[in-house]
Amino acid sequence: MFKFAPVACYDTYFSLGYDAETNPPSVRSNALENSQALGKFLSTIEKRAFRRAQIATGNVDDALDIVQDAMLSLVNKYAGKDSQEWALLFHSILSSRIMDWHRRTAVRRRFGAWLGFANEDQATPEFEDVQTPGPEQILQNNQSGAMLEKALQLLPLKQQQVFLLRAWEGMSEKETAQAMSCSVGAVKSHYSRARTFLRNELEQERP
Amino acid sequence: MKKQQTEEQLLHDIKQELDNSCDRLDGQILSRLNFARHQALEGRQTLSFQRRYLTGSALTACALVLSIGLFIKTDSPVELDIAITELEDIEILSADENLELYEEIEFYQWLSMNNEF
Repeated sequence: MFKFAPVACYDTYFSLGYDAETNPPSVRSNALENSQALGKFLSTIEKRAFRRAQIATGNVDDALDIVQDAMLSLVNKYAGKDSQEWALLFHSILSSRIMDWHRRTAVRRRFGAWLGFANEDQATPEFEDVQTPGPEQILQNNQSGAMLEKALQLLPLKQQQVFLLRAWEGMSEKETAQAMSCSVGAVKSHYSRARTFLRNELEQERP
Repeated sequence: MKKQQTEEQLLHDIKQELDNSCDRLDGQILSRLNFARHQALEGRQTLSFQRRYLTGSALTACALVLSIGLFIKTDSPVELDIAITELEDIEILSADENLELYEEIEFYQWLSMNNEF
């Protein structure tokens, strides 16, 4: 049965290539449900996706652009896939977009340096100057977020993203390897190094 | 054993802190994320200022290169004549009846001359 839905869902429904004249009501209904499910899925992962991109870029605007690109790509290319596959597909797209951003930024910086006007704003993200005692308590007070973010941003990009996918998103080694387009061995190595680095970084704050 | 427990605790705390950081996102970012999601669902993409600026610059540069190219091109009349000649040849070659006419031009000339007499 054809039901009313928010405007965005209707737009998605038609943008996904479903034609009201040629498709029977059951197909149209399925498509509408699919777009609603997709919207719900995106709303559940968008905050974490944004934080992943923000940690990687150190910039709110770039992080938002990356997340939107990833969402758009998922909607355009993989909306018809089984909803169980969306999470892995989305994380793969997001990882790819983050890597692309880093490559582009590196090239831009090189050209900027060559031309003599390096962009100071984008070169290094700014962090709050936080001095908080107690490593075990560090993660339990209000300033721990900035400290953790600083430590995460000091990690090499692949180690950082592998760590976030494994430790935060709870992905398996195989899934992480797929999302990062690398081998399982590389995931193990990146994850282990990231953990060691973070432990040492956070323990340095111990009084 | 204790080290492993400490490590697990550390990972748990990191995860907890990252979750908390999501809850602390301000209203403006949440609103922009919401907007981005709707744009993505509608299949459209809003260009950020930076992208718009870059796209505009790229288009301007292309237009400039094209203008310069056309300007240089119009300065060479010889090439233009050749181009026009080539165009006429193409017209002749593409029309079947015209080819027939040219092939039997002598016959038509003879015919017209005979009619006059």
